[in-house]
Amino acid sequence: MEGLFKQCFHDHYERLHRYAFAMLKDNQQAKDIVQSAFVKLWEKRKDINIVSVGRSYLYTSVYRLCLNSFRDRKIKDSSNKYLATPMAANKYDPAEEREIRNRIYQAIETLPPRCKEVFCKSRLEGKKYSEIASELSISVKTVEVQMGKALKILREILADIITTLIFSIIYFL
Amino acid sequence: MSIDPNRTIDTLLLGKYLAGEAEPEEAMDIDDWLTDPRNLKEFNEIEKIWNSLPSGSIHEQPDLTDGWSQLKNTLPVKKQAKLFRLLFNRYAAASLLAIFIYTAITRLTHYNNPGPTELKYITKGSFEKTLKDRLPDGSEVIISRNSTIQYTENFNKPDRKLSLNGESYFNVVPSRERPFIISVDKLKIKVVGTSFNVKKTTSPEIIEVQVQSGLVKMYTDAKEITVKKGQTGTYTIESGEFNLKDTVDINSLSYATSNFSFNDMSLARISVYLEKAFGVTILAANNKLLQCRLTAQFENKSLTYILDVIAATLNIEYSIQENTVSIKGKGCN
Repeated sequence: MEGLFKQCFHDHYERLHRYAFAMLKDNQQAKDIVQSAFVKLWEKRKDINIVSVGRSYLYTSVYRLCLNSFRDRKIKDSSNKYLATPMAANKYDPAEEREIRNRIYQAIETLPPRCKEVFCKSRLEGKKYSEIASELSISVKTVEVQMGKALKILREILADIITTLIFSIIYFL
Repeated sequence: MSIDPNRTIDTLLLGKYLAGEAEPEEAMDIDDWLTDPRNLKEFNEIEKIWNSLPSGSIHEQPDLTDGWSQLKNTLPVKKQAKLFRLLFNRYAAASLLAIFIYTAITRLTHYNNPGPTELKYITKGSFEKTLKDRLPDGSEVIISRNSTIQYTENFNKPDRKLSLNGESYFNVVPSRERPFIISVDKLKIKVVGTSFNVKKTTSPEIIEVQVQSGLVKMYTDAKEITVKKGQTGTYTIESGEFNLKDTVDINSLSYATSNFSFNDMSLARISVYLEKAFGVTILAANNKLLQCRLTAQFENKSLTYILDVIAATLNIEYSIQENTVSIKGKGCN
């Protein structure tokens, strides 16, 4: 039993963490949530067939736990805005990095207006798709489509500097 | 564990995933799709663009072995061990009770003389803008964006203690009797009366003190240094090391002082300082512009005044929209 469980952990731990991070934008919180999901699975090991449904149980647990954590965070945010989750660490922008960033901003500028608006609200302001949809009076599906379009265009425009990007990110880590 | 043949992985789905909007089934589909190295390469490229924008942290892959050992420790223990646990817990409970009683007694005895009980904390700072404030003793503090200071309601009696997160500029009212002490993590900064800037950076974690007038002492339990006027003292949190430099970067303090001194400086670097001081984003139409160099001094001038001077000197044009300054022009050689 423990062998199966360990195998399951090895197969899914890193992927679940990336999924949880995408939702929470916080590495430590993502770790905690993935761990809780595995603890839940362990407690239910008698009732659940780890081999056949373990994986979907884990993904669903992580998803639910992230949504709950989001809700709690929102309550905290409204009561004490600047003490809540630390925003992006005030990273100092060295002048050298500026050229790359400038290129990306220029690329964003070339996006069609609606597409740009949706992309900025999601990526730069960190808003949920549902929030963006109600702010712009469009459907969530349209938000999804515009985001997909934005990423597609950006990838095409920035194709030439993607290798530099990879370098600079490794450098700044 | 089969891939839904009706669902294709495209940028729409990848966007949902990166924005944290993917449902569990979609996340599983993406993870299946990523087992192909070609797909992983495509995903990495999109993720790189996503990550290179400001605001928000970057995903760091957790360590598998660490993760497993942490998880193992939290898993409920087996039955044989349970009895032992129970016994152990009894002892633990007993000693906990003893500690509780002890503290209760000491608390009670302490109650005779009015001790410090439940002091209210006052927190100041803002995400969006630089905040100017006066402390109860009359000292001036300028709290940078994204930074906070915290002190108790009895600040000033008998000494002046506060803690800082981020960056702030202090102009301290002199008083020999009531030392002014700032704590940043393990480091303490003690002043008598002076003006200086304290900044904590993450990655690497460094605390920097720049002194514009007077004298400041930086210390931990183990070491200390004295930073004089015109000097910069740094403390590296990880190693616990101190360093002293005989210069002060005036431009980095301009969010508080409104003084700039650009000495044959590239527009790229000037932009970094202006962005910090005025809370704007500066975008150049081409990278050649950023190579232009400038020498100029500004004291207490507005952003538009400074931009006007730069525009006239370098023969460029600028426009401001909300918080974004766009610069256009030929660039310099």
